[in-house]
Amino acid sequence: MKTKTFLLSSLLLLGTALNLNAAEPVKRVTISGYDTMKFSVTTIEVKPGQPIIVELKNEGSMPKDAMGHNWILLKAGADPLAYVAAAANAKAENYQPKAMANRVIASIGLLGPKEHGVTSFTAPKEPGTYHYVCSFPAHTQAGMRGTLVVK
Amino acid sequence: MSKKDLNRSLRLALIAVACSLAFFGSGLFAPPAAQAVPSFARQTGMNCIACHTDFFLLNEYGRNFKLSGYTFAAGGSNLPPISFMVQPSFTQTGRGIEGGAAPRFAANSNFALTQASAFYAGRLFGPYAEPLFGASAAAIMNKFGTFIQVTYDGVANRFHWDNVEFRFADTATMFGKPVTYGFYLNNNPGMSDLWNTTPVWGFPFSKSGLAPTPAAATLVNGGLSQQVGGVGGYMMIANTIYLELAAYHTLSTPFQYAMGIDPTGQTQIPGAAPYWRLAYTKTVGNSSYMVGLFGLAAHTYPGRDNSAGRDKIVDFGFDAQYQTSIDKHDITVLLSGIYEKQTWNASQQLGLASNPSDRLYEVKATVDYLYDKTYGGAISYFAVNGSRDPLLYSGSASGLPTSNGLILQANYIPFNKKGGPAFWPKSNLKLSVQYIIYNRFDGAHTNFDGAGRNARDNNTLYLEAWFAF
Repeated sequence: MKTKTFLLSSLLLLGTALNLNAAEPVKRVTISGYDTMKFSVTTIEVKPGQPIIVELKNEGSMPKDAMGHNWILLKAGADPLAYVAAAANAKAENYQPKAMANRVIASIGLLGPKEHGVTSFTAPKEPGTYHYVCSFPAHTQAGMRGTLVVK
Repeated sequence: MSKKDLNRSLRLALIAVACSLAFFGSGLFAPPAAQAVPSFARQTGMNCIACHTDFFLLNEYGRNFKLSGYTFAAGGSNLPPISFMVQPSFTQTGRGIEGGAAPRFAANSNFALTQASAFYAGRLFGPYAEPLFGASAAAIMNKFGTFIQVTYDGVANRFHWDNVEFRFADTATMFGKPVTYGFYLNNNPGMSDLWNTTPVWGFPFSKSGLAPTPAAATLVNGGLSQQVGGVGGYMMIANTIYLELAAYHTLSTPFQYAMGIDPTGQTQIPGAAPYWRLAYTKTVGNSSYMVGLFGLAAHTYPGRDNSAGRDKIVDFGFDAQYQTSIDKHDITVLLSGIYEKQTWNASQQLGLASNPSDRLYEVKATVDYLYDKTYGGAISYFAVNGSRDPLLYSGSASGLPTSNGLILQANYIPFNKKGGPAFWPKSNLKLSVQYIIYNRFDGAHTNFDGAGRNARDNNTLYLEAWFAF
């Protein structure tokens, strides 16, 4: 009897948790990237496990090969400067080095002027601060970076 | 200028440009491999447009590259950081200059090679730090950068060192804010500047060496170029606050001669002259702005003569820049002003200045425009004014330093947007027509020299083909 009650309670709790999670509204964020190498949004706050849709718009006018923009969300503990240092030498991979793909949570590929891209993903369940960058050479160092804050 | 003269000038200019294009297109300079130069573009793997609008006007990317000490790399090139620049030109002034515009040149309507320069610019060890020192040491060595320019001056017919700078730059975090910091050695106060508002890299970016220019200029405006050595440090905090401090000292006579500089008559700094720079910059969307202060203070020997003590010269400068990019339109507004306080303790005793102290003011306001990264122009107002001093401004009948006028320029930069010809994609070319209009020159609108020459006689038509490869 005790075992049956425990199992029923557990299922009920799990169902509630899943239901709560499903009820969490989708977070929609639109970020603009500029020729001045800045993101319009530098902080995004979400709840653990919250679904997110990020849209990146390149609002600049410079050619893609001189001023393309992407959006890379890195895993906890990943060093943004180490990632972009590797990315700078990965032009053939659109500045998203495959060797470091395991450090990426979500990404939007390289965009030229007036192009836009979208990605959807679920926020990490671990509360904390996660860095996002534009990995086009030197853009992160110039300030094109931000943080996803999970709390 | 008569209509006949103007037609002749334009005809000659067209011939000059056509010859230049034919020369460039002939492939005489074709490298053994189809690699790209200039060296910065090769190092970053990008075309000139990444760092410049109307070159050499820096954009946000270019400013960050310079902050990095010329060390940022992404191109993977194996060539040394060497590149070249050639500027054939044609000059015509409103009225010819008796005895010739310069030795070996006619009184007017002259073709010249304004400059031909070689550069060693980029990472100090180029792409060779890792093979030379190993991976861990290369991580340090690649933080050293350099900009070394050696120039043949086709007007003076001499070789000399030009702007030269060595840098170390790195990044750090301070109070949670990103900081880019660096140290440098260079030979020109203001060479380190990022916004093209201080004199070294200010507008016009090129001008004739065969036309008269106003006699009066502040010390920080070219008065020390290539004659001094300086050491300085800088930091950019949170991409917003820029701080810089340096000290300059006049280089020894033998060293200057060895570098192709004639030290005769120089204003000598026997001690250390501080140079300072403070700027606040911000980006908003595709626009950026900057407001700043800069200056220089020096105790000096006039004409390297130490027999009568020292003068004291202090320059206080302010500057501002607004830069925006709207679709195909790039607009940059540059403002600068310099107030110079001159105390002539030595010069007055030596009979070089009439007054114990003088003031000098310089103002410049420029709007630079570029359409589709290819077609552009600029208009610039300039003025210099100050105290009347008949000995100091002996070439002026009124003894005044007053000059003012406009600079109009049109540019065509055919390779700016997509890079140079296939055989040399990282090259660039700028064809420009510049016209300088003087309202006043060395103190007067008419008869400024007491010999009948008017300000408009110095109006200058300057045509140039600027090759960088």
